[in-house]
Amino acid sequence: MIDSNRQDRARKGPVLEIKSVSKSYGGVQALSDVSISVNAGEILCLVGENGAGKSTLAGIAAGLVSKDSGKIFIEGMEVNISSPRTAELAGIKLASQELQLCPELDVTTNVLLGHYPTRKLPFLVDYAGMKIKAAERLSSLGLDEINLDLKVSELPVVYRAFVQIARSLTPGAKILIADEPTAPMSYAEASSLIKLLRTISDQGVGIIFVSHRLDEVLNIADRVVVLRDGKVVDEFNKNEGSKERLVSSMLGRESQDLVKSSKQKEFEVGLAMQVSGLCTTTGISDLDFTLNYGEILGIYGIAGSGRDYLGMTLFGANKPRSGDIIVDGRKIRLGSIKSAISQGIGYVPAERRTQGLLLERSIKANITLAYLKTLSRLGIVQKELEFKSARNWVDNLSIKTESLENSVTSLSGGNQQKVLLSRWLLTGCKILILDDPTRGVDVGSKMEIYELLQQLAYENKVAVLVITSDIEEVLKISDRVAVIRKGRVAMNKTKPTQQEVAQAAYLEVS
Amino acid sequence: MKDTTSESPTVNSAKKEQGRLGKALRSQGLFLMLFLLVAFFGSQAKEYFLTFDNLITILVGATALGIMAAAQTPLIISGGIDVSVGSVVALTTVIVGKLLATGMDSRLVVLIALAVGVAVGLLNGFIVVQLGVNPFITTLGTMSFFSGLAFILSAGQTVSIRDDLFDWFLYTKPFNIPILVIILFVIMGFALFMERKTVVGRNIFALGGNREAARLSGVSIKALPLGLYAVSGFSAAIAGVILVTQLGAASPQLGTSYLLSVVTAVILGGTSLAGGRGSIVGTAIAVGILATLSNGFAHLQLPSYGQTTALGAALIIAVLVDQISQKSKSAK
Repeated sequence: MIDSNRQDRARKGPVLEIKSVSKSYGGVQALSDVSISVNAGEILCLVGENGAGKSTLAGIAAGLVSKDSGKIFIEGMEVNISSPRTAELAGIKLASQELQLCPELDVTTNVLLGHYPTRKLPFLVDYAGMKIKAAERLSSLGLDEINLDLKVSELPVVYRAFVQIARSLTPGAKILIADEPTAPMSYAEASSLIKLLRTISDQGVGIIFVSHRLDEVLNIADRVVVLRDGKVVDEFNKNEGSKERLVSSMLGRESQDLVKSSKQKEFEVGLAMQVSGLCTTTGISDLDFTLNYGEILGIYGIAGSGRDYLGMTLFGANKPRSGDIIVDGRKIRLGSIKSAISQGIGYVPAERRTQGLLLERSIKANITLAYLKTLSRLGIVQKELEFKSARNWVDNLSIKTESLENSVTSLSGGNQQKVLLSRWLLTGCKILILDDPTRGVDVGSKMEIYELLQQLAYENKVAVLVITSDIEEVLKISDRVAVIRKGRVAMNKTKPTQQEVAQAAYLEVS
Repeated sequence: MKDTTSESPTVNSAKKEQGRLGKALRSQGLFLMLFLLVAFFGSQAKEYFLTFDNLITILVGATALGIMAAAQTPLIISGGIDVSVGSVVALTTVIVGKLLATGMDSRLVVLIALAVGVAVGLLNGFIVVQLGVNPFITTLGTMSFFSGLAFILSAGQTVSIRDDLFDWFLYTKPFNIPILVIILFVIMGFALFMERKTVVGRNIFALGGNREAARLSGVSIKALPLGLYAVSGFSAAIAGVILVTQLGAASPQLGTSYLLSVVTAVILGGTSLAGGRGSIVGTAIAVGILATLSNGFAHLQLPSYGQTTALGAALIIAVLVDQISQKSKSAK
């Protein structure tokens, strides 16, 4: 649409300029004197650890967060952005992290939500006109394949994200802010979303893209801005950056590769869990694998490969159709969480907030949840014992908090994940199953979690099963990798290469 | 290691005090409301209102409501609700009346009434837990169902009841305190103990706060709610028996005033309808407010509909204040 003006725009200077913006929450300085600018048709990636100020900065531009000081300019003119509405009028559109769609309405309505064309009388919606407008909007983004008549709830997840973006791009869009849109997606899904963002930027819209996935960032960015502790610590153009540079400026220290402890190979080969002939209604068909004490087995698979519900099924939270799960030589009752727990299995789910944490409760209550029975006498929780047990794991895992009684929501994502790990470590589980253990976790905490899992496996001889959609994670952490495709194990190998894993996972697709 | 354990508890207890203070402040808002009510009624009718006898009268008037609210609180915290308690009260009074008329021993009658309460509670629980029907809709349905049943059984008649056992309950006053009031305090105390000290109490909060997280941590997501519905039915049966003793009558219309006042008391006490948050202490103060309101209005000979208006306003203000304080907490 705006393609022809693109060069003019570039000559005029940046579309969006944010100058010396500061923001503090209580005593915490979230942003101090930050300036960034975005040119037309440019993709600017904001990178930083959790709490570095990315979301605050994006929120200020989108009018969700009020700034303490600083100025915002659109095409050289100062604008006063005080609400999402004023931001939108100024041409700054937000595609937020959570999908904000009406699942029971069709695609047409969702794309145009709140901006319906009307007939002569302003309260009569022109549905035919709507369909034309929605079709135009989608096809300008190269999304003609989305059926306008389907309900959003009937669309695959990626398409929902596409609809969300199409909806944000109302006429007059100059800047699109995409705050971690790829977080819930698999890599294949994310790459198709990135393609869409490219299309949008080609049309002259400047994009601010926030992501935790560094590969993705290096792949898509025209320019990268790294934030740390509320300040811009590094800024570089596409070809000047490398992953090492990104990580070291994010962390403020040289990136340390995981130090593989020398003990890793001498694990005792004791069979912890044997799964055979597992079939579920959730896409697992005839799955076999074994898990040993003292090793980390990584299971990798793309979305829809059967990977998604494997952890839940092994833990008894979903009942499989058939198959055997044998722990320590004994079959466990399928579909019973209690039976799994009593056999010493622990499970850290993928969705921390919806499946793991009690958001209203304290850190202590979250840690001891699965172990209360043992910490009690005649049904009465022994306060001292509970406190000491929780304290012990908070210290061991260096969970950063002033008090065990603080709300669990006061912790960062990485520390929240450690709370969930503590919940199972406290029970003394012998088999630990983790679904996407570092999703939405900053780089520093990621390393800590990896080191912790290694320590568990190699020193405490726990059998660790990591189920993940992150190919780097699976390569980095696993002693052995199993790849799932179409519900079966397609590859099972000690220390495979990235090539091998990717081939096994995608073979049929490409 | 030794160093941290010797030091951190003191740091922690200081923090804990702060947390308690925050909670106390919220219940202080309720206390303030109660205090203002007492001050107002006291200034208007000093010689009658501010007496020990009247305090006892207020407490006696609060027993049925208080006992049901004490059972409803954990149920709502767990993410459930039971709006059928009013009808269960009516049903049990009718059953008590019917059975006494047959000449059955009154102790047995009371036991049967209580068993009926547990049974109807289990029915509610079964529909919610096993069949998966929404709790509000389930109990709205059974509310109507039990109420109808009470009318059918009694043919709409009110019967008056005189019985030695009931009189004993009504007139026994160790240390000048009626036994009904003692029962109320024992039940409230037990509920508080369960909430604060036991695994069951903690699991109730977990269940209401995040059902899936509770399930994935091995918390029973079926037996626990089933038990809570049974307890709620049981509490309504106790309330029914107490009402029969207090009024000396059984009628299918008896429970109607409790249709919503139980839930109102729990919500006024700061328990979240969404589950996961609430307290027995808050409920107890709220029951006190409701009982004081009705007693005060009676003393001032104000019309009772003025009382419901005041109650409605108080409920909305209390919830509003709670929401604002929650919001400011999460903003930090």
